[in-house]
Amino acid sequence: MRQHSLIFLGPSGSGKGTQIKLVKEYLREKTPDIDVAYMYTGDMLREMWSHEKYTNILSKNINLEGGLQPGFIPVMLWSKFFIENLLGNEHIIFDGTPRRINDAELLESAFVFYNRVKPTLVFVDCPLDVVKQRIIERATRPEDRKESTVDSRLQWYVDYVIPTIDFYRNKDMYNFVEINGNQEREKVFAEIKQKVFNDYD
Amino acid sequence: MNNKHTFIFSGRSGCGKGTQRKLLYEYFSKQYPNEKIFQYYTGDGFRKLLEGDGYTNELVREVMEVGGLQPNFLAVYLWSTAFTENLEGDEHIITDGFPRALVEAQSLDSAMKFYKRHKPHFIVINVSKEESHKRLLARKRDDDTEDSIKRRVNWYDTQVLPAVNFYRDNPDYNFIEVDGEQPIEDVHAEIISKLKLD
Repeated sequence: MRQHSLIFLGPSGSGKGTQIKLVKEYLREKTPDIDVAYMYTGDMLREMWSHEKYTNILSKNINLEGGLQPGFIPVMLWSKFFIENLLGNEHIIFDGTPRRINDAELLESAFVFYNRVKPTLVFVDCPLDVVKQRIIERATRPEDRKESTVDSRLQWYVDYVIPTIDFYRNKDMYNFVEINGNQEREKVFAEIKQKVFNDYD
Repeated sequence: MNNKHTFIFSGRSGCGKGTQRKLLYEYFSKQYPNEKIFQYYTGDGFRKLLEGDGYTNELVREVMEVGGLQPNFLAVYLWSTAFTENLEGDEHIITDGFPRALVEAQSLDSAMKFYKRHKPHFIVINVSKEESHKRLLARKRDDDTEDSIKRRVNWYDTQVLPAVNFYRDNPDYNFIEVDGEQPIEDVHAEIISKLKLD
């Protein structure tokens, strides 16, 4: 099995976090000698906000106000991750990034540079009314349950992430795989195994 | 809005932007001795990347050896890391070496807005394609070949020019063009007069 480069995109509540966990376990079992480099900008942003420099504080304040992070920050974070961690022989999993076309274009320059063959975009699709219900049900803080908060998160998805997903469609250098996230998690995973890994067990 | 100046230098290879960046820095430090200036040139960052012994460094060396272009994400990584590590919000900024492509310009634009930099000055030093070619041949380094020089000259038209055009007529920037085919002091004087700093 060759080294995979997988990008998971989909609305929050589509269950892609759960699926990524299953995929990581699956890869570790099938290819125990190949490492998995897992890139989740959410974790890296939180780490960034724990420092008190000017840039870090500005970025943290945007988050507290519910604003959008500037495009260059996720790029800086995943680039740093690549430079510090890649050895060239690992699988790569991107979780929830890129979320802008500009970010996707810069990531493309990295895929070319690192000679990553046919990265796969795994689009975990789910109707917005379904994910909205899921987000509200799993919210632990009352403010996260507010319909306006949920709506603005999904609006971001519609305005920026969907165009980014479309960027990957019909492009020769990528595999584009669409997964139905509106079914039981075992079925979602079975679909990923088939469509991404050609595994029909 | 931040009232400090931002100067972004651009132009064909060999146009003298590195020299002009340094001259502006000297001029500015003399005019405003108590103001902080942060100067950044991505060329220095790429040189550092060439020296490391990691996997990425190895690939950066390979690109250089074949006279290729370093990838866009590395340029963004270099300036964004330099900004994050050094900026405190109360300094003027002078840069050179980026953006080298439209995607880099868009990314830098997100940073200019994030840092609330007021109307950054985008300074293009114009020299003709032929002049750029001539100057690069004259200062030919060991790793330069006729081919790699020709590629760099053409690369300006296909990659850098769309980035320059991003700033042209962009109301968020002060776009300035000067003639780079005149003596160094005159280029500097033209920049100062067109910047209208006082």
